[in-house]
Amino acid sequence: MIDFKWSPVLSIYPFSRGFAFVLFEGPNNPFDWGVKDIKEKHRNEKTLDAIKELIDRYNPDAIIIEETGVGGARRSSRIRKLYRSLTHLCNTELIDLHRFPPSAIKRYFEPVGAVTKYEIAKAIGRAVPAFAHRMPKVRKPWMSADPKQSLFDAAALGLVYFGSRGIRSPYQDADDEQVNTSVK
Amino acid sequence: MQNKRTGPLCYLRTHRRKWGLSQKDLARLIGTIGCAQLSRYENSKRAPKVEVALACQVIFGVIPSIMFLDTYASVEEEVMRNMARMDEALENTTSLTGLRKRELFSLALGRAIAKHRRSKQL
Repeated sequence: MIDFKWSPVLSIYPFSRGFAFVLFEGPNNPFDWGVKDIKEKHRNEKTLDAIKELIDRYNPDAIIIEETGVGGARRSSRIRKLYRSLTHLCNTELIDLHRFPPSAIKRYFEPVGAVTKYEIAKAIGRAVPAFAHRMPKVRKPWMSADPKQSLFDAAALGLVYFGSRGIRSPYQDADDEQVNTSVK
Repeated sequence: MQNKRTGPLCYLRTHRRKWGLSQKDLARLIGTIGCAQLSRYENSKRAPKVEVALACQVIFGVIPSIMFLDTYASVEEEVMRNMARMDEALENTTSLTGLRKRELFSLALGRAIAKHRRSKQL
């Protein structure tokens, strides 16, 4: 049997009504992605079961979540508890867990002028064509977040992970272009 | 219990979703299969028929050996095993046909090794 080099990375972004995931083979190659709705009681248990299913199915090398500690994202106590359970799950499954705060995501997308979540989603849509047709609507202050937005939040975490590993970012070309135009 | 995956099995689902196609859309494009069969191909529960593999190449522009990686790997393994058996049987041959066959086997083996090395380097 051919020994494929398969070292995917699973980024997960939970939200109030479920969670979004993106399985990356590389920064430009998402292999699988989706938003799973988990609405009823015991959401954390159900979310963990769904994540466990993904782990069993894809056997990822690393799982990426956001940092919620000091200087991290402000998330509800349920989601912080979910992250703790996920940390435990990763320890038992011997999978590397990486956390990135929102500031790292903002830093990563700063060169392409993306600051807000929507701008970051647009930047991801431009660089990764698989997500281009899944863009969320622009969110007005009175609207709740579009579940599709969480897919881009998960994708952003994955891209930041590849950036932290020194793997060429899909925005590198855009950076180079910007530098060239500013020189002209 | 489900076996842990050591490699990507099939890129059909990835390519289908990348272009925003539903299983129903793709089944209609291919024309000879239904959604249930397509799902079996996507989850590597069945090997695709050659018409389906070629239809996928027409639609996505990806060759079947890359699109259906797992099927290709199992076919390659089987063929290589048969080839080794036949090569062993032809070990002491001096006929021109026999030598020509062994030349083909060594070329096929070389290609398989080169492909294996490339996939390891990626």
